[in-house]
Amino acid sequence: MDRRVKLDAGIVVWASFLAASLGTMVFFAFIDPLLIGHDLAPPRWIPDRMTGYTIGFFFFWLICALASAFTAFLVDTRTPEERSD
Amino acid sequence: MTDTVNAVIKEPPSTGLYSAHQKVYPREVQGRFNRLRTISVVALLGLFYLLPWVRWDGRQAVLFDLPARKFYVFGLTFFPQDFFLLTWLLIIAALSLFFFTALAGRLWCGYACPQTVWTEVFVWMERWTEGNRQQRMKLDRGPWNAGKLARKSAKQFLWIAFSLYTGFTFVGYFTPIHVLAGELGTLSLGGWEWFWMLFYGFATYGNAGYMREQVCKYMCPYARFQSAMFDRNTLIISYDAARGEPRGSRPRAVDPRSRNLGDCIDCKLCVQVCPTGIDIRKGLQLECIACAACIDACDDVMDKMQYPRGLIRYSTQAAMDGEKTRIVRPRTLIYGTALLALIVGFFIAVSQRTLIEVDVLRDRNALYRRLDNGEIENVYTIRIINKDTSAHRVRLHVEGLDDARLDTDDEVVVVDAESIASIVARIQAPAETKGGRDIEIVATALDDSSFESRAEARFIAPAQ
Repeated sequence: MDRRVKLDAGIVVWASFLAASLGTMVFFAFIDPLLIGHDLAPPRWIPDRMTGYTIGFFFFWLICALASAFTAFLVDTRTPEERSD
Repeated sequence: MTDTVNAVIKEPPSTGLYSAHQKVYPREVQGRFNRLRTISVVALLGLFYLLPWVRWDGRQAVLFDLPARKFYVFGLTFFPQDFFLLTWLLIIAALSLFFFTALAGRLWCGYACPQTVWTEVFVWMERWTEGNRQQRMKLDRGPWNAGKLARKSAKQFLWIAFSLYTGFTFVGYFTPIHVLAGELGTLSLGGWEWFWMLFYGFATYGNAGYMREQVCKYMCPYARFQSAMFDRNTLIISYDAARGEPRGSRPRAVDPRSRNLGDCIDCKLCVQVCPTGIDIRKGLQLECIACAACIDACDDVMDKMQYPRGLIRYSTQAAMDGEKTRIVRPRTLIYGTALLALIVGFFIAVSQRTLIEVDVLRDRNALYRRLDNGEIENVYTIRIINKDTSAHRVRLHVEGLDDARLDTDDEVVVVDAESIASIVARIQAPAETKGGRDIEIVATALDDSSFESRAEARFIAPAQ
């Protein structure tokens, strides 16, 4: 894997981690994971809060990483030299 | 007609910030700023490692109990409903950063950032096991022999043990640390506790052991925007080029002016001590975390040369240009005033916090029900949140609708300390009530009349 791809990957993972942390904090400040799906059938698909927070965090991380990766792909972060190679 | 434009198009340099990484071997340094940083490291890490062990009212003083959704900070208990206070606190933190940056540059980076503080400790361990800068460079270049293996293993042992203990302390802010320590003794930690302990430990190990200045260069958002808070009166670390240049070596006894030299003897110690591997003599750079290690190194050299100190020093652009440095200026005034107002407001908000709160949810199954006597009834689920450390007896009543009654199974609801009671309330209004009406549901603590909380709700009656 060339340097640029590695660097982009690092930035994507890191930026989305920060955004996901913020998202998780705000989301679960207002929503108790135990109440998700509470009055739907089948009820209570989240067994306990820690699992709920974790699923939420990784879900946010994934979505943010997708947005971040797509952005990195669209803006083309290569230097002119790398592009002409 | 064609105009020919003779322009030299400059390719952006492919090196610079994103050039291939070279390992930095910071040289040890002694001096007043290094002493200041050591004090800061001991104070901040001491706080981090000791705070979870502090007890308050028979429980851990600072505990963020995520599974129970309760946050204890000394005598106070916070609930997710207090989220705005956290947001407020974060805004205060951000504004303090702006204020101190405008005043004194990257103070945060050089003395207080966890990245700096933990890296400092990891570098100490590196020194204890692998020796000074020269010895470390030689060790890395040399072949793998018993000595190298022993030194590297000793370093890894210290690093890993310290990282794991850091991870353990981190989890101790979320799970009572005494319980955690007991569980660790019997290796019976829960899955998430293991996960977060290893995760945080690994992050510490990676960031402080290997990433180091690269975190500041590539990952830190503050490093990228801090220059926006800078102006001509901001304290920066600067090399006095007018005094130092032309640089060059010379015997101690020689008057530099006689050889047409400035005060810089070009010993390169300022470069060797730099944890980010830059040369401050090239001017202020993005990588500079303002740790002042180069000041300490240079002052030491100036003392030995019997030149005045301060060839590299804390200064401002204004001072370097021979103007007066202004501490009070619109930027610092605005940041400072806003910061003060937010801090005062925060303490008022915390002290005036209502300890009882009500949440109202309408019953979703039916808009209204007509009772046998013709009255109209709406049903609500009411959550009473008691943030106080003692239980309260709470009575509910309704306001905003004439002759309406609020009816619950028990006339008085007992809400335990730091808990939430969920009860069903029926509001009955006279038969002639028409249309939607805004009402208020009021909770009053019977044992303490100062506790009263209101929530708005909607009462729905037939339109005709």
